[in-house]
Amino acid sequence: MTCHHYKQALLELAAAGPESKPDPKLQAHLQTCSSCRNAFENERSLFASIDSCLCSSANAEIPSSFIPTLRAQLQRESPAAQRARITNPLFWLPAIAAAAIILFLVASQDRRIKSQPTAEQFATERTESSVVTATTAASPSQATTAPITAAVGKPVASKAIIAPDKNPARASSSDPEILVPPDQEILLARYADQFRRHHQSSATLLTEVAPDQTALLQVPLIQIAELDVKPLADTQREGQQNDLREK
Amino acid sequence: MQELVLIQPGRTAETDLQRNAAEAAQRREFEEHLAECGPLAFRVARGVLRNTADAEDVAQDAILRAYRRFDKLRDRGRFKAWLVRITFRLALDRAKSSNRRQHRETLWSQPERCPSPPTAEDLAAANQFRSRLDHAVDELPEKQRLVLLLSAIEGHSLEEVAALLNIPMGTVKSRLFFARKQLAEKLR
Repeated sequence: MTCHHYKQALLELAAAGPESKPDPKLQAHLQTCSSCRNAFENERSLFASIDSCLCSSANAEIPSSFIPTLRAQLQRESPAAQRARITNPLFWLPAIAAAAIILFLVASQDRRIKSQPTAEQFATERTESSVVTATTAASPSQATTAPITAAVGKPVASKAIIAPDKNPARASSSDPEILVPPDQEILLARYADQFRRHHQSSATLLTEVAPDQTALLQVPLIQIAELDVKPLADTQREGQQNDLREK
Repeated sequence: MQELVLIQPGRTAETDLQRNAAEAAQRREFEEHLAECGPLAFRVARGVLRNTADAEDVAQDAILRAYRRFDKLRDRGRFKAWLVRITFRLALDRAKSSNRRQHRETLWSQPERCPSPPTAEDLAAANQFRSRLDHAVDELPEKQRLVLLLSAIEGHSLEEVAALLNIPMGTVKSRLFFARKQLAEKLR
């Protein structure tokens, strides 16, 4: 058999390790063929290098601190140590602090929400304000003193008092508080001012007009004299006579 | 002065004592395993990572994980194989996730582990060979790699590797054969 035939067998023999024994035929060929013997030795030296490198890598010296460090970590990991850590107040301190902050935030948010009227309260206020507006429209004399109220269609709004009244007597009266979006407070205040001024002027006008001036005008009937009706033929004849006279 | 003892409802001192005793026994058993398997875990990690510091970290992590789940291990006789698998998996994860592998200190570059060859050419050739071997080992399939690594660790015969991995002896031999062949093809 040729060397090419033994090539694969030699490679596999080398890969199998130094303890592997060659086939008798292969052994005989190796003894007779120097090139195959050299190739086989090269393969074996390659595998020996691989093995030595792998062994030196795998059998590295263990650091002296490895086992003591590990035992210390295991001691910390033991259930008794964990229980002791849990019962330690300092263990819970960050959690307690975090819980306190969260509670404070939730409470402040809740207080802010409660200070704002709910949708039902808002609807009630709207109804009341419309009633007040209707009352002021019905009695213009009171319109000058009645607070101007307005209802804003948006349910989400901030609370604003249009006509802030420092007088405690009036403040205790039923001045409605109006919910206004934050960006519309100024506009609504202007509107309320104009509305109030308008009402005052209109009320003044209405009060100054005398009752007799509001009565209907008495127009006299037109006096027309009696008409002289003549037939058309007579009028033509008279016209001709007049023309002749002028000539 | 009388000592006050807080007794929680549903718990008695006897159950606490029993539990403590059980925990102590379990810990003792684990430490017995640890004396035998700790170095093996380190070597498995070292064989994958080729870096002492990383291998120490990974081995400690693996042992701690094993300790946390030790009570769930039904067959305590399989602890060694269990720990080897955990360590190998963690080491592979560490090696894959780390981009610093090229810059790590490797076994091949440690002068005390590798006696310097007489000439610079020989040193360069040896380093090059080891670098190529390193890459070739990294490209092996995981199963072949684990068998190659365990068989390279001193004191592990092929029978022990087979018992450790719970696979037949023939499988160990074939995996080792194909791993070595593949390495040689890449290094030839």
